[in-house]
Amino acid sequence: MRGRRAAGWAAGLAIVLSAATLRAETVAQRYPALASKLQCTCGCATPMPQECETMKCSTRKAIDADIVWVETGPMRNDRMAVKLQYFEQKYGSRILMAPPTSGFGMVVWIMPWVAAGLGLWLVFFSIRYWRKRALPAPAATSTGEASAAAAPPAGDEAALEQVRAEMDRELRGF
Amino acid sequence: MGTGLVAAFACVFLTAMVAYFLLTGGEAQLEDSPREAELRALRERKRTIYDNLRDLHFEFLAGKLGEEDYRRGRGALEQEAAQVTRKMEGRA
Amino acid sequence: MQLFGSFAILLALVLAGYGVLAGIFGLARRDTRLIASAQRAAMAVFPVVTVAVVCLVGLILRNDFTVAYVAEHSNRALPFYYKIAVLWSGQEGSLLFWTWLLSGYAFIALLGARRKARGIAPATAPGNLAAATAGAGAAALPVPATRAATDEEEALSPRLAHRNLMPLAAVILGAIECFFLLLNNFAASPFVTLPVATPPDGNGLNPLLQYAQMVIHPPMLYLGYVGFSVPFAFCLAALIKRYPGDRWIHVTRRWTMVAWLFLTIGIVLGGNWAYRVLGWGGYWAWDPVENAAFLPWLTATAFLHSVMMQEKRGMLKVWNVWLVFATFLLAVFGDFITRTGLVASVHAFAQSNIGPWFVVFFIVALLVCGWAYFRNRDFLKSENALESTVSRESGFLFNNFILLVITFAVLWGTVFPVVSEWVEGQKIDVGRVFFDRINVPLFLFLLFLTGVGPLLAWRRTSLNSLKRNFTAPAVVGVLVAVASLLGGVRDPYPIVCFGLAGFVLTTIAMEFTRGASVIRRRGGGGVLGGWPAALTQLTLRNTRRYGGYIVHVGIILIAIGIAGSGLNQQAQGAMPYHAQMRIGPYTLVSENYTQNDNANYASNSLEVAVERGGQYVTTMYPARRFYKASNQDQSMVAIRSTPLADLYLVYAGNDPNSGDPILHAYWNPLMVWIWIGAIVTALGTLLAMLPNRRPSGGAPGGIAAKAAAAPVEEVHA
Repeated sequence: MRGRRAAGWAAGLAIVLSAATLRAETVAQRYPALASKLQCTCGCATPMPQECETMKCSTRKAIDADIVWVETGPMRNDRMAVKLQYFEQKYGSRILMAPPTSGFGMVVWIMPWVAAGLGLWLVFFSIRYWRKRALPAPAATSTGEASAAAAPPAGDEAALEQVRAEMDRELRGF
Repeated sequence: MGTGLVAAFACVFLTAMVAYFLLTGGEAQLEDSPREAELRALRERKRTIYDNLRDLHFEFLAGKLGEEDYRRGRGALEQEAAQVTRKMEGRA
Repeated sequence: MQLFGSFAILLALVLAGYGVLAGIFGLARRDTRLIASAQRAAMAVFPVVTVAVVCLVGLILRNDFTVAYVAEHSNRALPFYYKIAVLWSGQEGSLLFWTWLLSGYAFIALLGARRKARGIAPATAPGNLAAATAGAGAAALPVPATRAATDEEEALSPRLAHRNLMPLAAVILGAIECFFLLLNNFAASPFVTLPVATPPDGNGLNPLLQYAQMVIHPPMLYLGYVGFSVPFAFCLAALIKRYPGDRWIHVTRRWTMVAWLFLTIGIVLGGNWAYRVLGWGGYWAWDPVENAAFLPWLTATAFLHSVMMQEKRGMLKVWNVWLVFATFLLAVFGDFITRTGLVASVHAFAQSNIGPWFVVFFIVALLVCGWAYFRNRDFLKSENALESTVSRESGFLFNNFILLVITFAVLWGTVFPVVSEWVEGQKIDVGRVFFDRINVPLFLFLLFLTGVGPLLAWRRTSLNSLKRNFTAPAVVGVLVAVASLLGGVRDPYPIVCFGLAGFVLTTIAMEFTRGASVIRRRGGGGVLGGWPAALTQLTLRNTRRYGGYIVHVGIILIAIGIAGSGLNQQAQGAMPYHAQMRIGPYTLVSENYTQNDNANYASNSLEVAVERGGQYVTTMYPARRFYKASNQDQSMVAIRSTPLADLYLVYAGNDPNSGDPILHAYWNPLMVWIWIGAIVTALGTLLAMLPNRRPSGGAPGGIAAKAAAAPVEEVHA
């Protein structure tokens, strides 16, 4: 009988302890997940998991307390987006480390890649344009002939010869 | 009153200095005529081509370029230089 | 004194205005006397603004608190050097400082044009030039190997373009000066006296600004920002005049390098200040004001690369002109958002109502650029064509593409809060996560291009050359990446960054050793004849290229330092007497706690012994100061730097219950390389600005004969 009672106590204690541990663990685990998406709004813009040292910062303490409240109170099971919305409404969008990926906030994320796409198109377009312009010019042949030797326009030979002689002289003094 | 007078004198002195500086200037030189400028531009272009040649040659000596690349590069520079030379002869 | 100062800035405005008008009329009527007088007026602006600056500094040093600016930003107990810094620590003073630097730049540019004009007078006198060019046509001048005459050298150097463009460039610079002088005179005069009774002491300088870096950081940054006005003026002048040839782009490039150097130093000093002063263990937060300085830096960097396409191949002319314009406009934009608080920023030190002035100036500048471009766009037609996609030209195109995408991303993220407020009625702020996520991969690609670009040949690179040049660097890059993975780095970005650093550094090392070996084979390298002499000779022969490589080394070192932040650690706790804390490889022991007091501030300081493996390493003193005049307190960070990592201690305050000091410790690996990299970058830039020392040519047994006679002859055959 005594043994059974003791076992009952032990079981009860274990349940209470494990519940407490579970709760403590959940807050400890959840805190960084949420805090890492928030930054201090006093002006230092330090991520919440870091300490803000810029000035005497009372803002940070309030946000800290709010994170703990959100993760332990009635909102603890809400989606991350809802939690972030709570902070955004209370402190303004400056508290978010990253702009939202929904609604108009998405535009900020998309535009750089749109610009990158446009830029890439421009680069390839320019390369193609210049390559086309290069085609009529004497290009290197597959036999490995120097392009100059390929087909100089008539009347150029004299100038070319003169240039070659000059170049040789130039490189001799190099 | 005293400081005001000093300030007024200082202002007059500064203006006088500046006026003296402005009025004692000579004449500015005008640049070359368009024809001369164009010829100079061609000479500049030719100089650049020779600089490019020197770079190309150095890279070849340093083993950075294969012979094929060197030939092609040099050939193109020769063409460019010949074109510029012809233009210069046409304008001179 | 304030009366004299006020008069001086008014006189400067009159002079600048006269310079602009006389310059325009003089150029239109080709009136040489009027042009000369306009240029002298433009020069005179600088000494006159200097008088105003001296007046303001005098008022600050004399503690003349009847002047509003002095009362607002200075106090009696402030040390001398910080009193000098008061000049640029507020809106009105910093605007005057800006004008002063701008007029100084204009003065130097004008002085250079005058001196050079004298130097080249014989070559450019109409008769001489005609004779020279007639000869040139017949004999196809120049024959460089025989060393053309000095006059010819001078006439073909960018100095002539500098002199020829100076009258119009002076008008453009004068117009910019007029804008700032209007602000100095009518919108934000630093000489306004207080309407009420004189206070016994001033409000003091913001304690955050009382650091050596803060004495240097703003002037450097301003020298950078303001400096971009000069290349802008020359570039615009060349476009309007349709200046023949390509020497004007050399002039523009040289001045851009000067401004770029100062801006780089300014940005890094700002980061260094944030790191040493703000106490959050970081150096860059993508704050709008930081971004404002970074934007023109990015476009100027893009220009310094793409300009080579124009100089070497006569390509990308339109692009280059717009990069110079964009750099100037972004510098104005940066000044605008810094001063008006358009976007919320930590740097809210100088907010005011001068916004509309800047908007008007920005629009006018943009319209002038657009007008000049559309009127003269045929002048910027490209001369050459691209022969292959695998070429140096493509490398530059991709480099510019990445830099411009980064510029756009940073600009977009910076102005997005304003855009979202316009569109949605609700402000959406953009934090650093956005900037990091977008920019880090782009920067890594840029690092890759830094290594690839110099290995590609102009026009076309064969597969053979690619193999020859890429094998060793690629192997080293992969080995470094694997080594960092084995060394415990787990984040992909730092691993990639270290790998790329290995790759790029190898390519640069190869460039130097290959070049130097050519010099050595030739028997060059001076009396010593060894590698150091050969390397020196190599670098001095082509300062721009090898200086550029050294700049790349600096940038790689900075990248290594930034990648190190992926390995940061931090710890925090109360530190009563003999308490311990572990961070990185160190154990910190609280040894003592002291208090001090002087006229400027009261301070609390903590003495922390640092141990490693039970061995004493050093003692550090993180502190907290309370500044009396401004009634603000400020933590004084203690930092111990080693090549491997920084130990960074912050006295975070006292526990409200126990009164024990709270210590916040950071362990920041590789941090010091950011600052070393910045120094290397600055030295490389300085080197790149030196003129090339040409090899003494012509001698038989020169390089071509000795080192590679056979292949060269073969090529010619």
